[in-house]
Amino acid sequence: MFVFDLKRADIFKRVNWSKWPIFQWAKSIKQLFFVLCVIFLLLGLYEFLVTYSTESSNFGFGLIFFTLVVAFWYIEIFWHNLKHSSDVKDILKKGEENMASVLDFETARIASEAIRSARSRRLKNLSAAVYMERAITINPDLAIVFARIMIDLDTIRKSLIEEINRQEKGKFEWSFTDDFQNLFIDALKSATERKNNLIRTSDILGVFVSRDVFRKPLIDASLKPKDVKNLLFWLDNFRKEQEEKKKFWTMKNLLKTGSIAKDWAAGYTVLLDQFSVDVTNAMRKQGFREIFAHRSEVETMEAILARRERNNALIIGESGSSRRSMIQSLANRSAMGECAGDLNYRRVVLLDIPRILASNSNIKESEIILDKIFQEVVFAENIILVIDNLHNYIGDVSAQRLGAAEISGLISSYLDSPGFKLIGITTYDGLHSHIERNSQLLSLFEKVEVVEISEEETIKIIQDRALQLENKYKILIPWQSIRDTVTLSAKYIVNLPFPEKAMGLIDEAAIATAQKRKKVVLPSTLAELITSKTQIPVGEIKEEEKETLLNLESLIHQRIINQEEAVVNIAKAMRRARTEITIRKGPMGAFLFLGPTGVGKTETAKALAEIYFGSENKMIRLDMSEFQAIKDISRIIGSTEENGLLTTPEERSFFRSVAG
Amino acid sequence: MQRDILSFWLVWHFFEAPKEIIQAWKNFLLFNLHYFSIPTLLRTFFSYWHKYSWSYGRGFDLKVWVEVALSNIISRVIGAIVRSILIALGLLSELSIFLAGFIVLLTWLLLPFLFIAGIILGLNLII
Repeated sequence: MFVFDLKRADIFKRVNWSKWPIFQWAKSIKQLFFVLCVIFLLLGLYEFLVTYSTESSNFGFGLIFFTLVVAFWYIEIFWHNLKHSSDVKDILKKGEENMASVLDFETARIASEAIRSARSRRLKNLSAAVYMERAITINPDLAIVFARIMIDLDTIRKSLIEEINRQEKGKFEWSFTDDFQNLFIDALKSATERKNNLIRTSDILGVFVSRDVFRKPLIDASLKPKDVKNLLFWLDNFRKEQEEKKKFWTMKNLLKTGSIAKDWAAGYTVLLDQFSVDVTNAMRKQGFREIFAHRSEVETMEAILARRERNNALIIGESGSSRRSMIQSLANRSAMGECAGDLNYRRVVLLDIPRILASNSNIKESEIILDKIFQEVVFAENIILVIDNLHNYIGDVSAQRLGAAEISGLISSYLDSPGFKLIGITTYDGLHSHIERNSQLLSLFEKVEVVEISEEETIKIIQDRALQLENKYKILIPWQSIRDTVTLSAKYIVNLPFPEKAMGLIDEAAIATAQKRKKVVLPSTLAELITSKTQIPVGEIKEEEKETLLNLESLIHQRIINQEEAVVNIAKAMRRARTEITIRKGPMGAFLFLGPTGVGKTETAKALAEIYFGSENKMIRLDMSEFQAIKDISRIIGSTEENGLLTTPEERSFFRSVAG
Repeated sequence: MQRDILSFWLVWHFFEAPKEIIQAWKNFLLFNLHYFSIPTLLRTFFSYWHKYSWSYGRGFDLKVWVEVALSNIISRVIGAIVRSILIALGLLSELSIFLAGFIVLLTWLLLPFLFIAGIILGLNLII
């Protein structure tokens, strides 16, 4: 049962009140009175200085205007409160009773405008189209959303108006069309899922973008309804966070100021300070900005560090998987008192071992300094020590490398003590080839494995990054570019993990756009960057390539006679892969050509390499008869001693054909 | 629930907004204690100043013992003095926050009357 009763909904009263001129003009009147107040007070002051009399009427006017400034400021606050106060507890139950009572101020305002519009257009019912037309016209936030997905609002509005004109005319009789009802029922669901207590404009638009009106514009902008939804909810959250940040009186914001004297009972660490970076201090200077990546891993790490025994954590992950940000996150949480009891208000310090090694002529002196530093850490009692690239300092003494040393003997005597909390950062490679060989040392650490973060999490990080870049270079990064950054880097950049590769790509794209003095980072810019890095054509298909793709069969036939089946299948696979109809992992196509010698099996592969991939050299040819013994495998896939015939050229550029 | 704007305003001005102000007041009072680390300082009141302390060493030598004991006591006393200064500062600011919050709350509650008073006073000055 759908009930949409404005009369019984508190919010519509407030919408009506908020339209009163006194509220609309409050801000301007306040400013006017402020200017008058200042003028009269200055006049009064001038008079006082000249005549020494306080009996001037100027002060009287000044006081009256001051009172009025405060009064209109008060009215402004009251108006703001009219918009934002809410007494809804259970949105689902209330929504079923009366949908109109669970709208937030903006959706309610649009609804009341929509009803007025339906009346003036002499419509019998209120439809979703009327509502959305009003929403697009009067809500400034939606303009921002549409700018970010590069959709022209006017075309949408035109098609909405066309739809409205087709509707049944007559006297408005307070009834609602089915699509209007469904729109709000779905929006209610969406709001409940997001755990909001009111339906917001973003919920309604999020539902509405899957309707017919948006089908063509979305396809033109290469978007799916889900993309728009993601964008809407992101902007919503962003705005909510900004609002929260403004409320300086909340405990969370007050705590960001930090505190003093928490370390007065802790010892000084003179040597350590000389050879380290204080992460806590660095984060304080940045105002303890929030860090998103690897939440659960940070919590695991905290649990390990808080223990009495085996309280050393070893963070393992590929470089670029933002392991350092875990340290920053820990420093943040410790400084704000959010950790488990014992870890709060500790200094997180990154030890710079290469600097110690560089400042001494021989390893013995470095060892003495390092030992003193470790003593200081134990003595001070409020330090969480971090060593980056721990594998450089464990095992393998024979190799004389710069910035590397063997400290496992020294460090393991400290790792035991409960006052010594160490976080080691290493890679899988370093773990296997160095640290694992010292099982006694490894047993003093608890491992925290950092997996590459998912595409969804990366999108969140890239969104944040995009906002920073927009501010820095004065450009706009539309949603499509954010999405493509993640999908393209996932597909075509293989030797780096997320979020590093996506961050690198969006940074480069922003710089490239700024250099060309353009305002918008287009998806094509990203595609061009990927193409120039990998020589793989991505993005929109250019004329020349289109010709090649469409005529691939005849082009191959210039070299190959007959073999119709093979040629057609190859051409189909190439077109399918290039147009990204199906998104698949692995190669664009895998074919097995069978036949006697001389029918053109190799020639077909060569032809494809030359025509589509540019040159016969783009082909890797493996004669499988060479690789019959097990020991030959390493010649194909490579090993630490030799390059692989297949893998090494592949790592450089993996746009090529392989024939065997 | 049906409300007219007057009752809405009454509830907001005399109930909802003061509740918010009191909440903020409470936040500031608690945060001030945290900022000056007063609980921590009280707990470690007689601790050494930044752990500066001396070892008594092996054996017993009255002269050394007195010397070390004196040095250690001095470290503790310095710690206690500096801590009590900060605690005093913290309490002072706690008191001023308490007063400021009280004034803000009172001003807010009396604001409608203050508007009237302001206008009347201004008119008196003019005439």
